[in-house]
Amino acid sequence: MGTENKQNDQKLINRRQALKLAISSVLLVTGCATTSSSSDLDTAVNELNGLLIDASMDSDRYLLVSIANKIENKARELVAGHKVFIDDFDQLLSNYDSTENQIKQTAEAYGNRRRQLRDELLHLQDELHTAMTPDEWDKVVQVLNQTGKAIASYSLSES
Amino acid sequence: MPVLATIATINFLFPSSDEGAASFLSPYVLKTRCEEEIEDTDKRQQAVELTEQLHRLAAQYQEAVVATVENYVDESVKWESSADGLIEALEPWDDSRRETLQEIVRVRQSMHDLLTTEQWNRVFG
Repeated sequence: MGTENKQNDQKLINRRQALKLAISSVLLVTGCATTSSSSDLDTAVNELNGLLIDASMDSDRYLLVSIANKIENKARELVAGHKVFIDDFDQLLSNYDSTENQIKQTAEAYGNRRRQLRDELLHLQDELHTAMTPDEWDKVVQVLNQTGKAIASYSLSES
Repeated sequence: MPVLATIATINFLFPSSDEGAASFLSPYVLKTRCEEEIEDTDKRQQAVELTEQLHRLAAQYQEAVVATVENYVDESVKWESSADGLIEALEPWDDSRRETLQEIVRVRQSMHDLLTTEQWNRVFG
């Protein structure tokens, strides 16, 4: 019984973690744009929720959740930095007294920082990938394809 | 998934809405403000042409966003994918993004050279 309760607790933690990740991914997307295609994204994220629960039940759950949390933190840092940059860049462009060099330097500095953080994020994805079995990765691929198409389609419809 | 969402998010630059204050990142709003606030016909025409360049840059940028997301997904779905492979696949779009930012600054400088302080403040005020 004790073992069963412990397993249930672990499952509960994983569900909570998975839900947190799913919600954060929605927030990250909607933070950048008004999602007229939010229903597509909701569907994909709901599938992701189920996927993360299944994946964590079948493999080393603590390692996966730990890597996923690092990804979430890195993603939030990157997105927050991007929002600050857009505001600063926009303000510098509109300010009559800004110099061309000043604006270029701001853009260059952000570009370098962004690329560094993005690369770190991709290396974390590598860690997640390594921690998963091919079968689990296949499930990730299905969700990735579906959500990627939804985001690309949304971006095209806005251009 | 947060990686995909982040890859998409950090590539957005131009707002999807055509409302709000005049800005080099909102070409339609800026064009309208130029048409409303610049009395000199020649200058107005030149300013409007610059906003049209911004609009083309925005479209070009959106295409790069889509390409980035598609490249990221195409590479990620491979079992043998690696961070280094992903970074290499995204590099052309990093360069494209950098060039677009430089072009925006160039257009802004042309607008700066064209308008008087007073005209600038009327457009962006």
